[in-house]
Amino acid sequence: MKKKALKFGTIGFLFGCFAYLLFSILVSLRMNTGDFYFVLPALKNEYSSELLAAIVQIAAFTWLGIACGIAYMFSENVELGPIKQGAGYLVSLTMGILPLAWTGQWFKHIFIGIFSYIIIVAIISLLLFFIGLAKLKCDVNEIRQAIGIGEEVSNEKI
Amino acid sequence: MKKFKLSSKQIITWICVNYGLFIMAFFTLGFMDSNKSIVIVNFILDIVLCTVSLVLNIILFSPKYKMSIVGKIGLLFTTLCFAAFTCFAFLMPENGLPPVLFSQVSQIPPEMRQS
Repeated sequence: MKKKALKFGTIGFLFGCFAYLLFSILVSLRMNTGDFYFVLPALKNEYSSELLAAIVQIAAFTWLGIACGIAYMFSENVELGPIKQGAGYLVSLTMGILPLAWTGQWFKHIFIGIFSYIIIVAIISLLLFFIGLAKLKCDVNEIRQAIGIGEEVSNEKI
Repeated sequence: MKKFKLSSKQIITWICVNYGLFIMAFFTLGFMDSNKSIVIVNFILDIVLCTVSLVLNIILFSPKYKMSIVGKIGLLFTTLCFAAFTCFAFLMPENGLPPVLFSQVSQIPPEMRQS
C-alpha cells in the first residue's frame, strides 16, 4: 500500500509540475506582454517577493498533483469497497486543494470558494476517469494480443 | 405496474442530455429580452434539470451499477457545478432573479437590465 502510494504520488508530483508549467504558459498568454510569468502577479504583490510567491505556487500545484495521484490510487483499489474508496478519494483530493484555497484566498468569498472547489474536483475527477478508461482499453488490447484474438480477426479479414 | 430499469449507460446518456439542455436553455433564454417571465422560466427550467440530474446521479451511486467511483463522483460534482452556477446566476445579490422579482423594473439600473 505504501509503495503504491509512493508510486502514484511521484507520478502525481510530475503531473503537478506539468500543470504548473501549463498554468504559467496560459497566464503569460493571457497577460500578452511578451514576458513569461512564473507566478501570478497578484500573488507576487501579496508576498512582496517573486521567489517566495513562485515557491508557494509551485508547492500548491505539486501538492495537488501528489493528492491527485493518491486519490487515483484509492479509486483503483477495488478491495476497499465503494464507500471507503469514495471517502479516501474525496479526502485526499480535499487535502490537495486546501493549499490552493489558502493561496487563492477562497475563504474571503465563501461562495466563490465552494464554487471553485466543486469545479476543480469535477474537472480532476473527469480527467482521472478518462485516464482510467484509456488505461483499461490499453490493458484490454494487451490481453487480446496475448490471447491472440487480434491475430485471428486479422487472419479472417485476409 | 411496470418498473423502469435503466442501465448505467442509459443513465449517463440522460445525464449528458440534461447538461446539454441546461446549457442550451440557459443561453437561449438568457440572450432573450430580460423579461420577468422569461427569467423565471429559465430559472425553473434550470432547477428542474439540475434536480433530475442529481436524482439520476444518486441512482447511479447504487452498487448494482458497475462503474468506476471516479466517474460517479465526477458526474455528481459536474451536476453540483451546474447547480452552483444556477445559484450564482439567479440567486446571488445583484444577479438576475432577485432584482427582477423583488423590485420594480424601473428601479433596476439600465446596465443590469441589459445583463
